[in-house]
Amino acid sequence: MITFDNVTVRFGGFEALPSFSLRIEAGEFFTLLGPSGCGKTTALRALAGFVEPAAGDVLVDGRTVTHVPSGKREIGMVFQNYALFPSMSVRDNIAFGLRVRKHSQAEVDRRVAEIAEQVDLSGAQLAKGVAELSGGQQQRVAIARALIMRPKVLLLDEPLSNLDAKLRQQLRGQLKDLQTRFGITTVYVTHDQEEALSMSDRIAVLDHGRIEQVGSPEEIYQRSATEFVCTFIGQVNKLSVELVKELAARGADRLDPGMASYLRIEKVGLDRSGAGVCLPGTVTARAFHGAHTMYRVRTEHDVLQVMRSDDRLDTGDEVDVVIDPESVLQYPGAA
Amino acid sequence: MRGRVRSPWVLVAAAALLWFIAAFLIYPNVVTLHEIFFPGGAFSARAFERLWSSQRAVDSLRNSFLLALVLSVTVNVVGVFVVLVTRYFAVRGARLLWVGYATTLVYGGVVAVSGYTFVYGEGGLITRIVLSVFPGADPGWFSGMLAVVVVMTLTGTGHHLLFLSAALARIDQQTIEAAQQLGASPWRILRQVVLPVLRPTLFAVTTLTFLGGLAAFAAPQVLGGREFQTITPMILTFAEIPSSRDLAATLALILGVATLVVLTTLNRLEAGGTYFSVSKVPATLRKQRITNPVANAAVHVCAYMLCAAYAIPPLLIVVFSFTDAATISTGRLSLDGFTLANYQRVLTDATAYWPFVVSIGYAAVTAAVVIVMMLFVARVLQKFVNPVTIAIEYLLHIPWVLPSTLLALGLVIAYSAPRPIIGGLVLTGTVSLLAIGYIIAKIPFTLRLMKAAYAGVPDSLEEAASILGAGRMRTYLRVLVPLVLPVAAAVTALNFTSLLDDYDLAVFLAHPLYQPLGITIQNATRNQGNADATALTFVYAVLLMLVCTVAMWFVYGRNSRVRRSRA
Repeated sequence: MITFDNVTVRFGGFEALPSFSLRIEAGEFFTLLGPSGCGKTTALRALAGFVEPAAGDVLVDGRTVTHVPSGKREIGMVFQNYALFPSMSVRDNIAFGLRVRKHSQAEVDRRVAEIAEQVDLSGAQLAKGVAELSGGQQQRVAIARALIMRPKVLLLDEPLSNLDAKLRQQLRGQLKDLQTRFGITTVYVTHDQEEALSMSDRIAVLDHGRIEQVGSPEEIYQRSATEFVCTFIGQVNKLSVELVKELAARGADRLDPGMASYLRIEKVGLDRSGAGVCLPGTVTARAFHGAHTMYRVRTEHDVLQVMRSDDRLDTGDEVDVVIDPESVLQYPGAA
Repeated sequence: MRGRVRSPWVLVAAAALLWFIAAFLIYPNVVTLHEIFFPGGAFSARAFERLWSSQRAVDSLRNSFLLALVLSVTVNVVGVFVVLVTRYFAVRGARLLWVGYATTLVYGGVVAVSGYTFVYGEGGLITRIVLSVFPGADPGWFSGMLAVVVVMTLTGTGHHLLFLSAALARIDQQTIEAAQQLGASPWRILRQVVLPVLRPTLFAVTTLTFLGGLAAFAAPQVLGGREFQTITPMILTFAEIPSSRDLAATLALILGVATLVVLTTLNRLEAGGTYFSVSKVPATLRKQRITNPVANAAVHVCAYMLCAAYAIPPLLIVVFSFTDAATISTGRLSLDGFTLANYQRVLTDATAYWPFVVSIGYAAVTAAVVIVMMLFVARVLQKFVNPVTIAIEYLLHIPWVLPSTLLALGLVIAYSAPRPIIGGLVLTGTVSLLAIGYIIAKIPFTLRLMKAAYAGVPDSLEEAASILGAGRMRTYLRVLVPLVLPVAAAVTALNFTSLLDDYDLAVFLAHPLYQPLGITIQNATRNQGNADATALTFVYAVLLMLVCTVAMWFVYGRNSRVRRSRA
């Protein structure tokens, strides 16, 4: 559906995307995930037609669109700040693209009413100025304005980044529902791993303009391909050489103490019920987070962060720290 | 960019703009320089030699710099005081005081000079009162440098009222409270917390004041007398004598060089002296009480006396505009003396309303032309930054760094003979030359504000329109222009009102049969014996004040009401 074929984007002497290649399938909710400056927005803007690659091609539905103006790529986009036209009403914002293409007034009215219903915007809201709407309503207007053109691809550039935590949570679900309902190929850009994991069919993790890993959320999380992906996604403990040596000495032959070793914080057991190597430890700190509790546990070699769903332990408690060697993730590099 | 360059409309517009810059911003100045240094085709410094041998010319140069320096101090002292008593200290009746001080916003230039002359000049109302008490007093006491400094100080504080007040309002109340909590006195807080933050704005208004003093025209011409002549009136005097035009051009060149030197020096001094608020949640400034009762009383007395000095001339102009010639001559008000005849005459007599119509016509046409030009040019300059557009932007700022006298003289000298660059036409003595002068003079201000307005529009709006299929022209007209239109309307209003009573350019460029208000008012002011002419001047002044008040409300009052209702 969408192909980046060795796309290189340069800004002056800086290479924001060096030979970027990626394929996104039809109907997917695909997320470009990475820290600030990793090139995810540049990739999205190259797809939208706002930056012209110095080399390589962008294809949509088999057609090369590298040099096609953005308005002729059959792509819809929701911007980070929504980019609603403040001088126009909600209705005029949504109808803008149809009017550009000279659709009849009757057709415009019909399609505006149709899309408004699908994104839950009332007739009264359509008559309002965009500044009179809440953040969530503005987002729905931006989505309606993009979807009314019946694009082949929908681009979402961090559309939740300006909202408060509760609204973000709520709108995540709405966005995913809309994408599922319309079945539209969607490319989502975010630096928020939780958003990416909860909404995406597949994720590409980017760093310095290069793809570190492409996969399903589960693959990305549980089988992180690189040290960068492992540390960027979720929370991990970096294990010391001594601890890995002890794990290896106690039967975990596959572990190489010379490699960088990580263990996700929810994979550390604090009782003997789980399988794995058992080590004595002491709880040195405790932070209650509602649905879960975070503990800091000192062992002979390391201080480990541990996330548990129960909150029965307290500072100073002696515990059995259980590590399943199969959960330890290892990568080439300094241990 | 490639798409734009391919568009024939853009190519035609770009060519027209380049021609305009070459013909009206560069060529006249080149001709002026040629006139000075190559009077007979060969290089000569004779104009400078003649200038230095003229005592009047040398005196005028010295006086102009002296005036600029003195005004830089007096305008700042008075300007900072009026802002502090209306916006910073808790002074009773601060709103009333502000109205009094703000008369300078709607009453300036030749109108103000006319008003002050009517009140304090020889035969003026206050002078007559003084003479009735002290018959031996000098009736011409209000002249020379003192009179020029007083008038230009009181009329020069408009920038403080607008810009310094705005800067003061942005100061975080919490910084003042922090200083108070650390034991600082109100005086120390003012000196060490408040004024340093205002320094960039003070620097900017000082620059404007200095340059205004250097190029002062109407006030020294009317009030300076023989002993206090300055450069600009002297340029006019020399320009009116054909054999002394090179002297006029040389003086204008010196004024231009001085302006450039001052701007460069002040810009360098200003660099690195700006403070930005680091507050995450700034609190609104609250007025500070003056706890010392003696200081409080002194501040109140000074504030109200200053307010009277500001408000009396315009108030008297309004009152006497409704009186007959006899009342204006004697200065004695009586019920019998009140009449609407002056207004009737201005509104019905063609010779009386003609200057007003001419001014309105020039101001409206040039304000409209400038805004249409700059709506396009500012967008291109803001969007496409490359060596060519940067060079164009610099060239369009020429009128800001060169005094209007030099520009006017350049136009007069350059286009008094047929020139191929404008198709062999002669412009000097035609109605179009003043319009061109006005357009040139208003370009930098309009360009700066329109560029800032475009810069405030997020790129994503344009991209959103683009991805929805809108072409560049539709995006520009439907998305961008509506967003910058409020700024464009405000700039147009300010340009329009500032041109209504212009004298500086009009006196050089106006057609003899199409003399605008500025010249009419100035002539009437210099000829105070004619009470009929003075009466008409008062009506013009009142009408100008009305138009300016409406424009100021349109620009500032209306917006602040919208802001309040949104809040």
